[in-house]
Amino acid sequence: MEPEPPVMSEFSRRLLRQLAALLALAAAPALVSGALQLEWHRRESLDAGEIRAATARLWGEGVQWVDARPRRRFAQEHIAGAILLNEDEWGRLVAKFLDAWDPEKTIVVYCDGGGCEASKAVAERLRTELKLENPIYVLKGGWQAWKGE
Amino acid sequence: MIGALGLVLRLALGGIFLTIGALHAWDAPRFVLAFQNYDLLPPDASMVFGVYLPWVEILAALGLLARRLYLGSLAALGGMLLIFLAAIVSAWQRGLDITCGCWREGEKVATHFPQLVARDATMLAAVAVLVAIEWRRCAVNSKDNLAERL
Repeated sequence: MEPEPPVMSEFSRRLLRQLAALLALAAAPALVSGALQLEWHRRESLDAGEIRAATARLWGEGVQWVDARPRRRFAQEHIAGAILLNEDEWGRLVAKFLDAWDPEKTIVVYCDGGGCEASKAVAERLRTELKLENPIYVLKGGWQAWKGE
Repeated sequence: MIGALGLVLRLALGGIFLTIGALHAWDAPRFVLAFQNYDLLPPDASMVFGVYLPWVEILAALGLLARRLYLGSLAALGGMLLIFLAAIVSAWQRGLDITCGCWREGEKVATHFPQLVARDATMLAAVAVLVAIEWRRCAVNSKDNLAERL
């Protein structure tokens, strides 16, 4: 193999060195900006299929909220536009959910807080029983996270 | 003539990316959402890129305008434009509307893909011209240095 011409090797070395410097320089303001705007310092890691309240807020109208809490809790307060669909009343509520279902929206299921499992169970049933092809997520931290932000 | 062309392209690209980068950095959550609309990366990766790339755009634009880290700035802009082009073409192929990140099967999507591709391809061509000019300058300098040594 012929050796690289000196101009080309100097040119590519300079290019790579400067590119690395520029990418490293961009990291510092990006960290500050991210900390200020996205509040990463309060973030916990996500499990598979979970989404943070801040992300769901950004999606706005593109989200179909599903409230997996008991009817009483839903009646007290819920996320605007949310549909009630819990495991206790699945048979009765699922038809109403399907009436409102929009194949273009991302479904986000929530229950009370970080410890509740109802949202995961409902999300799983939406995937397996109804075989919905929408992206389906569970809201990390549930209703408490939504109210807390 | 080549010097004037280089200056015009350098100032134009620098100005465009400085403005775009500043707008993106100012409203990072919106840029993150725009990233997510391409449906290529998981939400967390979109957040990282959505916060980081605006600052690469800003620094690369300043690099072009001030002729500091000039080659690195050109490489960063060229790389980003290539990635953006690939993302746009990928969304176009999948029938994905990147104004909302949603699929509208059977309907005309709101995104004007040909214009987006033309815009980014034009800027990529401008970067390529600037790299070629810089390469030529380096080659001439190197030849002069060699002649002096001989």
